[in-house]
Amino acid sequence: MIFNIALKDLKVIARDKKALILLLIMPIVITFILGAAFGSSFSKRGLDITVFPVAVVDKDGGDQAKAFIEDFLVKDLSSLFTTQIATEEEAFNLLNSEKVSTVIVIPENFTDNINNGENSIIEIKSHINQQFNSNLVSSVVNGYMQKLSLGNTGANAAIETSQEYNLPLNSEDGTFEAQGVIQELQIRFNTDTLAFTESNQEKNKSISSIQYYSAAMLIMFLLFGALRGARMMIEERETRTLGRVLTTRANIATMVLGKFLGFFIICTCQALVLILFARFVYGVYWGSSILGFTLLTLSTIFAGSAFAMFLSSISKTSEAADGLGNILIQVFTVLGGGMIPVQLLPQFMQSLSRLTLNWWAMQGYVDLMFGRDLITILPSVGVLLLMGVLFLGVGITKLRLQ
Amino acid sequence: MNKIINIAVFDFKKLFRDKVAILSMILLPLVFTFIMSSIYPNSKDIQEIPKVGVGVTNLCSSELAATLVEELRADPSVYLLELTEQEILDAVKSSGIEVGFIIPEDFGQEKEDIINYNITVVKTPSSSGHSAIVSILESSFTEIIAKEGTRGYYKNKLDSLNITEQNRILFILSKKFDEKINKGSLVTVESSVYTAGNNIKKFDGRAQSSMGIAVMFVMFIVIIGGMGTILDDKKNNTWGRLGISPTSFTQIMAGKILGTFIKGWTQIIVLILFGKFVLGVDWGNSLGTSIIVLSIYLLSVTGIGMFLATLVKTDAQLGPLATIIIIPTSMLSGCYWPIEIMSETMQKIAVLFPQYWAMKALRSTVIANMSLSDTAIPLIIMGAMGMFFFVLSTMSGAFKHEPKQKRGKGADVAA
Amino acid sequence: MSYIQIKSVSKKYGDLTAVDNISFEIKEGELFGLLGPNGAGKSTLISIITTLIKPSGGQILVNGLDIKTKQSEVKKILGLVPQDIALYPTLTAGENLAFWGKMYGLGGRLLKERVKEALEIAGLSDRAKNRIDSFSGGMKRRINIAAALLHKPKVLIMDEPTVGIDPQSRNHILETVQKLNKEGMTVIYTSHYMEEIEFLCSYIGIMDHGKIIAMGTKEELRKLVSNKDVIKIKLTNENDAVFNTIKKLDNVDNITFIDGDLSINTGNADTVLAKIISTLENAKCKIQTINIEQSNLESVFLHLTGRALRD
Repeated sequence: MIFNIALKDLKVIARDKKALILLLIMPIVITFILGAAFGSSFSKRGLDITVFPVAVVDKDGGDQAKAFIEDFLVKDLSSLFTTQIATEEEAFNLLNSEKVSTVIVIPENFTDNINNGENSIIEIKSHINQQFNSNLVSSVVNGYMQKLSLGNTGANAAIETSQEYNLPLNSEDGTFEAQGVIQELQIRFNTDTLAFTESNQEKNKSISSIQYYSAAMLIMFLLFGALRGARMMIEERETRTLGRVLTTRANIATMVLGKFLGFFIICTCQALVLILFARFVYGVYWGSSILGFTLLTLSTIFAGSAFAMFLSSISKTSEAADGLGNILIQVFTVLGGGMIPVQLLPQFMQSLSRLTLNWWAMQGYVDLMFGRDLITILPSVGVLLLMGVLFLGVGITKLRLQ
Repeated sequence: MNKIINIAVFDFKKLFRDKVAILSMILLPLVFTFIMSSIYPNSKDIQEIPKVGVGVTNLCSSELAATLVEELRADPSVYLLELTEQEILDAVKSSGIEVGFIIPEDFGQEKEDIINYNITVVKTPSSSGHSAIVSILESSFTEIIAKEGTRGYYKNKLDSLNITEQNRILFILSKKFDEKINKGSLVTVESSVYTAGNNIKKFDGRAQSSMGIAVMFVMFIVIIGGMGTILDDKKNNTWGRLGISPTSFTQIMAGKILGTFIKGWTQIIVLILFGKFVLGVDWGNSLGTSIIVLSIYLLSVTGIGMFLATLVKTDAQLGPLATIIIIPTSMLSGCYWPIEIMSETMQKIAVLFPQYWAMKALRSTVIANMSLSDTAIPLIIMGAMGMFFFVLSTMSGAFKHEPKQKRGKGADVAA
Repeated sequence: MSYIQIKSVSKKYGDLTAVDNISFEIKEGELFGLLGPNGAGKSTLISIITTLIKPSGGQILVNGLDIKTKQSEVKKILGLVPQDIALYPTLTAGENLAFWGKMYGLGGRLLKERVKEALEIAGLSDRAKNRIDSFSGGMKRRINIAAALLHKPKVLIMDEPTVGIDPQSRNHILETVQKLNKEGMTVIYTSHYMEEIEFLCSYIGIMDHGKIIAMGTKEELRKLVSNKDVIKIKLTNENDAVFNTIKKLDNVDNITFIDGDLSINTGNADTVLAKIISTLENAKCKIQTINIEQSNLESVFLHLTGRALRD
């Protein structure tokens, strides 16, 4: 009896091409785009940066400016961008027409100010559509200027101290002394750098964005699949066939379980297709623990189907269930880290994330992808099952009352 | 004209009869905007930057290591916790802290001619905030090195001059160094977005993400809620009835487009106001230009919506089709995240979508306060896209008012 | 004086000829009935008259105006009640009427009055503020008609306005049509319900396979089958051989057998009935009931096509 109900639902859904597109093709496309978009935030490989043009305006003309432009920008950074020297007007015309992504402006008296220990400001103007490249320019210029500043700060401090104590200096104007400090510091800056090693715990383990999003989209579209099931349940109520089924020997529990089994099978088939597609077409590694993976996937499907059951019990019409479900699934997905990594969200949002089944499922999949074993994902599985039982319980109770 | 307005007004009225549509077209984008923009700090009060949880285990007793930890603690964006190694591992795993550092016992000590400045980092692989913290550490470290270097160099000088009282002189040197540091870096770098006029503006992530969500959801409302009404009319047989009323095809289409326009603008206004007053998004000074940009975007998306409506028979089919088109193309066009983070190929593909041009134009007007002439190219492209699809769909003849032919079925149509 | 002139109009869809070179005229103030089975081409003809479909050939004049060249003037004269409910389900009855009124150029106080009148005609004044999707089928039909009356059309065209509704609503609709016609409105009424056409219409055209096969007043049409009765016999079993025998009897013009109903057209029921019954009994056909009907449009149709209206 239960199987009969489930089988009927399967037949109905298999005939619906529109649903098949939505439930199978859509996740594959979106996974691909998300994977491509965030290609670098997960793996350690850098971005493929193409060399982009930058303009520099030298209002100073002194030695410091020349050293900055010729040694640093033009020579050291030639692999990052091409530098062209321009007048202020030219430079901003180039920027306005997006021919350069960034303009660096060296102020007047830059060299003098540095030598006299006075502050100066380097302006970096970026084109609005070139934020990424500009940030790169800013950060390298910043690094250079910090070291330049510190070197001169050290030199100035040394000169002032020497003057205060009337210590014999190597030359009349103190330049030599200053050069000595600056040179010393440049050497130290090059040799004494912090090195960061990743802790052994997570060393050599990383997941690619396509892996991450394959899991995220799997979860999201499993929910959509379950929602589709929920809609069918209500359509049945609307077309009164539910009443008809109930006049046969089936009681409400058989009915609910049959429906639930239907959702479950639909989602399992969907999951299987998506998982295998990701595995063989995108080369996604789903982890080494087959048992853990199966357990996690099944509990995700369980929780998702139960959620659909719950939705159908609280909505009056199939449109309402569809609309509400669509909204909730999308919100859950964003909150649960399905579109952007949860870590990007502020703390209070991250706490909200934990209320979504997406988050728990996601944690489980990520753990597995790191090669962790069954034991690590048991908390996730537990929470998912608990959520499922809660949703199912509320769903059945509500349907009984109707 | 009255008839055009009549069609538009009633289409608008019908939208509000559908609670689910209201929820998914107004509430959902609001929630999305809220979540997505929460990634970025509020542009108005920078102080509100949430502190990032950072854990440190300092196994080294050197002054250098201690200074480094204090520098990190002093940073306004860091909330520093001193933890044990195990605590750090656990806290990172449970997302209690963004990143953890373990400073080894022999930090700063020389071993085989190499000074060990190695710090162990503990973070989740998907952590994105750790790089900012790492650069704070690096910058603090450079500062310490500079001070130490100056001091060391000066001490050597003093030694070579056989000067006593070294401690006092070196103390003064350090003091002077610190004073200068506190006065600020000799050279500071100020980055800003190039804007029309002379005002300095930082790149505003919140504005960008609010714009993106608006651009995407407007497409939904225009295609499903706007052009979908033609299919709805067909389903209700009212399309034919419109055809026999003394109203021309042009009037009917103008009414439909006007209705779509009103819906689109309603959504945009809700999103702009929500962004401005709830999230503190700065929508810039060239509001007039932004309105023109959005209006032309609406028209171009209307053209696309019309075209999609010719491809399907019912509005139930339009929904999934629109979704499968809108979400991926919006992602590629930079509605969800800055387009630069994607590969070159992806960025080139994005040129095909109107959302890309809308985002480009809006960035110029909202963030860079640029004028209409600066956004001419995106506007022309969007306009052309709209026209292309408009002509394509009117030529297809799918909007004819002809009733469906039930040919040769006379016998089995039940009375 | 003829108000609507249809001159050799045809419409082809590929191989299928939906309307086949039809010509006829309708006088002002007439209640014209167009009778024919489903698929006869009635709706296509209606769609051509209301300018929804362009004919493959021919010309139509309404009040002397060519519908091809004076489309918008003609549209203002015509009011169509479409076969399917053409209303917005989420809008209220009042809103629907206001919408369609405005589409016919009404506005202001006039619109309000007309909406009120139309609701009264539909007998649904108290339901003006209810949404169409909360209405029963019959109520929807009545609003569907009311929406075509707002601009007081000279010609009201009703395409199967009573399909699938309760008897009460049907009576209401038929009465409304009669009343409107008495007030001077020209009405074209299509239906495959013979009874409705017979009850309502003064002038009737019978359509089949895209052609008008007969046209005239009720009386004129009946004359086609004058002195002919229809014997209807309900049988519990059938026997093709016996039907052929009956067909060959004197005075039997035509015979059809559908679902156990045997219809026999005859010049004289009294003389032939006894023979028929004995023939049937000889063939061991069991008779349940026997009815003798005077000629009606049904029998006209049967006479002309050899088929029943609803087969």
